[in-house]
Amino acid sequence: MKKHGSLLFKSLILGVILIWTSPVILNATTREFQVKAAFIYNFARLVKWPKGTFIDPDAPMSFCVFGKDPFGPLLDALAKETIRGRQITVKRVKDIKETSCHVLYISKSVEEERIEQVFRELPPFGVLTIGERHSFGPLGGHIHFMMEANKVRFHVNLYAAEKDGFKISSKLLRIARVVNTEPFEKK
Amino acid sequence: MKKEIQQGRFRYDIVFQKIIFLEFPFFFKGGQGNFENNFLEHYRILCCWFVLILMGMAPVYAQSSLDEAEVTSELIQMDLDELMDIEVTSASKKLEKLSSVPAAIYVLTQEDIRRSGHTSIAELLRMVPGVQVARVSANRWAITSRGFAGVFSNKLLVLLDGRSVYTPSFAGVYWDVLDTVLDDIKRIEVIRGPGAALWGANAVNGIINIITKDASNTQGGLINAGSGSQLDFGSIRYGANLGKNAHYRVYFKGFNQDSFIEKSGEDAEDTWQLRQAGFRLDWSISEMNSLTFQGDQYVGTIGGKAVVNPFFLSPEVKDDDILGKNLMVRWQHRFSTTSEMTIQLYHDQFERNDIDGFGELRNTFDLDFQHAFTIGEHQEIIWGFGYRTTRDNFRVIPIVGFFPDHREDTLRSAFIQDEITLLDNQLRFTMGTKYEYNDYTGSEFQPSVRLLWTPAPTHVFWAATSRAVRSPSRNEADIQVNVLAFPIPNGSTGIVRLEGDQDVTSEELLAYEAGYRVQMTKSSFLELAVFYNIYDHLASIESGEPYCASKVSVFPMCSPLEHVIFPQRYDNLLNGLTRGAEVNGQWKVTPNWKLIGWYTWLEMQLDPEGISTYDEDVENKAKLSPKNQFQLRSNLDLPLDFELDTALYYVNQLDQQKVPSYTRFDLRLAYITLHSDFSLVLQNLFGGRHLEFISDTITLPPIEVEPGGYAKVSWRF
Repeated sequence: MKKHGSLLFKSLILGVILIWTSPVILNATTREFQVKAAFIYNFARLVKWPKGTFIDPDAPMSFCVFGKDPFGPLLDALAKETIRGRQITVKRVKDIKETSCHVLYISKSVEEERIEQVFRELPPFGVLTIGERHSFGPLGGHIHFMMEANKVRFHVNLYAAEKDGFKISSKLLRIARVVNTEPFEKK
Repeated sequence: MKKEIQQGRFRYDIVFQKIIFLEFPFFFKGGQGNFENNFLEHYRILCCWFVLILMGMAPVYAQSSLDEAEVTSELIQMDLDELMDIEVTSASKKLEKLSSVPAAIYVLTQEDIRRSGHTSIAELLRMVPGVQVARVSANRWAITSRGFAGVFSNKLLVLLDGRSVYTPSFAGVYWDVLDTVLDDIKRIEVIRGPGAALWGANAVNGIINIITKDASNTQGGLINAGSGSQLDFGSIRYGANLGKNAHYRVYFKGFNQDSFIEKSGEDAEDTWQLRQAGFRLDWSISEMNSLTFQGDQYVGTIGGKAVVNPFFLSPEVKDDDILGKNLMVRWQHRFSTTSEMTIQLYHDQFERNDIDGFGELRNTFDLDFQHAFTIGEHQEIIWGFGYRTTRDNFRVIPIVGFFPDHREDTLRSAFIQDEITLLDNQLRFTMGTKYEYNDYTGSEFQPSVRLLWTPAPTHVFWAATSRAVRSPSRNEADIQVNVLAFPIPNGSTGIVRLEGDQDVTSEELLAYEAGYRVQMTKSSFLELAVFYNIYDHLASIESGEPYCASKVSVFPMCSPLEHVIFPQRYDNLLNGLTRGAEVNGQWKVTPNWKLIGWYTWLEMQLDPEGISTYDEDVENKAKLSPKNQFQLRSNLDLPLDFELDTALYYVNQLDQQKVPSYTRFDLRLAYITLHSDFSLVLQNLFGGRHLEFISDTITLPPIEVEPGGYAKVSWRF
């Protein structure tokens, strides 16, 4: 019985230790979207918009989030930054037609049909589209994220981006998976 | 610290399963088949459930969103390469920030490496604050931090992917065979000051840790080809995957370095060629287990003209081959998100045939284990042990030899470090020690205590005091070098001989360091480190009593048929004091323009102990390192994917060698496209031909470094 006692005691200690050691672990998705926000900033930095996109040289550059926002404050942090002298503004949009966006992030929550619809509603050029879905490129999107071995990677649909007047720096392309897909509708 | 340096990330991890593994044996005790045992059986299962349930409850997402947004702002300052490398499921609470290391640490990123235009690992180190990189000849360098430079700078530990390239023969690094495809290097981490509490002996004045990329980050092909005024080089690397979770790369590289010119104007004949092939395989077996295999093999030649007294001329043909190979396997196991262990085993074999005919063959086996975990939220522990055995074989020539000419040594070690958070996000205390047992001096303890104070997120202060030793090398114990020969009155020859001594002891360092880091703006920071180092028992060379070579007759009654030896013996009768300050900073002027600068100041003083006969050289030794060094680098991204990088290096004179100060200016212009890069590099502009260091060990004439340049094409596929 003595043994029981000591075992019980040990298990209690074990329990106490375990509770005491409860770790504070950063939510994996938080880190993921921190990194993605940083990438979005770099996309904007390394992409050249077609002439005439910005009304004047000081016009702000607007980052829009469409669909359920996974970033929260993580993207708002970019609003303190500038790119080539342009102040970044961050907004959540519900209706594409009513807002002007330079970077449009379409979250995972948005269905494919809706994405296609959004693309149809977009102005013909000047909006860099960033998505999460596999089919984002084939649908005509410019850049979409992928997770690979715990790290954030991205595909660039060079065909679509160039067709829409963007010039993408080789520095960005060389770390991207470059695909040249024409949108489905054209086939 | 060892952990974060090896893996480039911080351990804010907390243990779980460690407790299951370590505590459970308690429950397995007891006899068999009795009631108690059955009870135990149930009990164990119950416990398991208990543990599992607790584990399920464990993660507490308690992070203020304010901090999280702050991290985004920090991330956008990073280079793209670094951003690509962040694991999103890392258990780290904070970003892996070097600013919270309580030591003078500096990291060369792949971006720094790529944009420097340097073509060898030795030259890359020029960019590190306070590190003295002096080119002795086309194929030799004197590299050290915080003083004590030499062709074999014996107080600096260098590792490539955890494999020590510090040679126990002469205590130093054979820089001429330390190579890999520079594009495959992830980062080079350099700590100035002692790191012996984790890294062990010889990490006295600094540690250089070269980390190559995981094979999953080097997929596809990369071909480099370059040609220049002094150097032609090429490399090919190809990486692919084996199944979903395993990636590999293989590479081949080679270069031909032309000879430099002696101060006298003659050709130094110090050409250098190396051909190297290697591989790395990274296999993520599961979430919890990963395996790495890597290996390299090289063959090359090193030229040079050894200045040898004709009396000791080697009858052997001059040989200059260097060859070697190494193979490593590393297993990383994650017990939980908060507890991780690494077991690493490597074999390294090399053969060197130096320019004077002296030869060395060495085989090393090394086993390392380490385990990192945390207790609660406030303690991070890392501990481990190691075993190394090294066997050598020397080809003895008339001028130099090791006696005995072959020897096997083992090194056993263990270390533990505890990092304790005293005040959340404000005050952290680290204490640790390494224990080593080596065949020369026996037991060595190398403790260290460090304190990190972060009064505000942008201000970090740290202070440390450590003891470190440099254990004797084979050289100091067993070498014989015939330095001089001269006729003596009885008709025979007198020889001045440098002799090793079995009784040499370890050099000891007691170091006091402090530092301050300030993030001035989001895009600029400044770091300051100061140190005060007290050295005891530094190696010295003492005159001994002359003796007759045969040892049959007693000096001065030597027979005319035998030489009379005037010995100069290794001893430890030197004490030293160094102090210095190092300031470095970085300013991202715009997202496309980065400025990096540093200035370091060093003062050395060496004092022989009373009985020492070693006075003349002492002053000199202290002056082998420059008092002031300065550097300014600029990385500028031009429109149309052009890069313009410039670097200005200033190094103060070396009084003893009468090597004058020099200023060096490097320029790189590159054009980057999706699949290829074109770059033009000009090095050593404006300074002209200049001396950097005169060999202090191998007798080479003074050789000068000349301006040069090369053009390079890289192609990715």
